Amino acid sequence: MSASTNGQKKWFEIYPELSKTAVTAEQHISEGHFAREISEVFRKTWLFAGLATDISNPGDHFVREFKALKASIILVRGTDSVIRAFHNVCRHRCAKLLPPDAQGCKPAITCEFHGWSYGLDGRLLGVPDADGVLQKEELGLVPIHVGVWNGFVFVNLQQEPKESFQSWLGQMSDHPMNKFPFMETEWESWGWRLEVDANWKVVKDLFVETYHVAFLHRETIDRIYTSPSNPYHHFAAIDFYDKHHKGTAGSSPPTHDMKLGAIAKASVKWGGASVSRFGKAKQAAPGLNPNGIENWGLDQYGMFPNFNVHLFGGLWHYHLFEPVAANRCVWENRIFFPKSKNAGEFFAHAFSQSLQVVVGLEDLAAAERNQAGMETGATPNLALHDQEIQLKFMRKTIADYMNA
Amino acid sequence: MDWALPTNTLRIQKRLASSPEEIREFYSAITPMIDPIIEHLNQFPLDKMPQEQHGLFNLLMAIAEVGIYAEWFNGATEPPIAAGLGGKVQMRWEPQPLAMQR
Repeated sequence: MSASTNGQKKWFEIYPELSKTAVTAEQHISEGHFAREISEVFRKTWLFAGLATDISNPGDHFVREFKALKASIILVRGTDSVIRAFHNVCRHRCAKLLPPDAQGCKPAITCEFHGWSYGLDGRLLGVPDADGVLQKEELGLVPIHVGVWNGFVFVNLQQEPKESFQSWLGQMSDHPMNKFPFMETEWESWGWRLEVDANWKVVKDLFVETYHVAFLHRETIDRIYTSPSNPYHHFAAIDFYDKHHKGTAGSSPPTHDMKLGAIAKASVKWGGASVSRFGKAKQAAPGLNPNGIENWGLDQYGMFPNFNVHLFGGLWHYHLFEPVAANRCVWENRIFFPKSKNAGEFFAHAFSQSLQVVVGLEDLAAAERNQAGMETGATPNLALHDQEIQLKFMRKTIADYMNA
Repeated sequence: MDWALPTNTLRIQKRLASSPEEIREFYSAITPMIDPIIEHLNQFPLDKMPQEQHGLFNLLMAIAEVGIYAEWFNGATEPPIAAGLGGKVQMRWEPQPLAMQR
C-alpha cells in the first residue's frame, strides 16, 4: 500500500485499517508482551547488526550483542571477502570468545580459555594438546544467517529462517533510496550508545514521528526547522513498504531568525556542502527525495524492527534500537558526513554531531518520561495523532508476527 | 589549556565536570578567534597536521563539543530537559585524524 501524500485527507482515512490498530500501554510495560516480542519477532526476523564498511578487509570483525536475546554474535570478513556471522561461543565448553565491544582485525579467533582457535570461515583450526578423540571438523563455530543491503548487515537468529532476507526486505529491495552512495562515498562518522529506562518501541517512536519537534525540541532544532507554513512539522509524504515505512519532511527556506550563536554560524561558514543544518543549501545525492517533494528536507526510513536510516542532504544517520527488558532499551546512533577535506569541515562535523547528541538526549529523556507515565497505569490506551500513523503501522506489523 | 583533549569521550567528560561559568569562560576565550583559528589550521592537510598544531586543533574540537551548550543553554552541561542522561552516553565511534598520524 502506498499513498505518499495525503492532500486534504487524513492519513487515517487513507488507511482505515491502521486507524483501528490498538496501541496500548500494556504493549510497552508488560513483561509477558515483551517476552512474546522477543520470541515471535526478534528471534524470527532480520536484525540490523552493523556496517559492512566497518569490516572491509579479511579478518576485520566486530561483536554485536542483543541482551534480551542473550545473543552474542561475531561478524567477520573472510579471506574470500564474504561476511559471515557466528555465535560468539567456543565449541569446547561454550565460553564466550570475544568481549562485547570487540572490533579489529585478526587472522583467527582464539578462545582464551583453552586456546582453541577458529578460522575466519568458522572452521576449528587448532586444539592445543589434541586428544585425538574430538572430531575437529564437527566443531566449527555455529553459523548465523546474514543478509546485506546497502552495506547494512542483518542477521537472523533462526537456525533455518522461515522468512527469507529478500522477503523481509520486500519493496525496499528495489527502492530508489538504494542508489544513495552508502558504500561509495568515504564517510567519517561519530557514534554512541545510551541505555535508557524505556521500552524499545517508545524509543523508536521518537525517531519516527515529527509531531513532537515543535514542543520537545523547542530550544534546539525547532528553531531551525520551524516554518510558518508548517509549524507542526507535518510530513510531506508517508510511505509504507510491507514491514517498513518512511516519513518525508519538507524544509522551507528559513524566513525567521534562528538565533544562531557564533559557533553555530562558524559551522555553517566552514562546513562546506556537507552540513545541511540551518537551512543551508543541500548537497544533491542520488537516492534522496524519491517522492520528488519541493523543498525536500529529510527521508526517515523505519526498518522493521530495530533499525532506522535518516537521509538528509549531505549527512545521514542510522539508529539501532536494542531491546533489553520491557522497560529498558539501548539506543545506538551513528552520524555520517563526507570525509573532511580540512580542519574547518572537521570542526563543522564535530559541532553537528554534538548537536545530534543534544537532540537525541532530549528524545531519550522524553522516552523515559513516556515510559514512566505508561507504568502508572493511568490509562490503558494511547490516543495517537494522525501524523503518528507510522507508530500504528509498527504495532500492526508486530501483531502480524505474533499472530503468524 | 586544559580543554585541549584528544578524544570526544574526554571532551564530554570535561564538559560534564565543568561549571556553567567555566563553559562560558572557555567559550568567551575562544569564540572571538574562531575564524582565524580555522583559517590557520586549514593551511595544513587534515591527515598531516603538524605536531605543534595538535593543541590548537584539539581546542577547536572542544569548542565544537561545548559551543551549543554555551549558545543555547547558557553553559548548562546538559540539555535542561534531559538532565542526568548526558553522563550515560558512551562514544563508540569517532574519527581521529591526529591519531592516524602517529
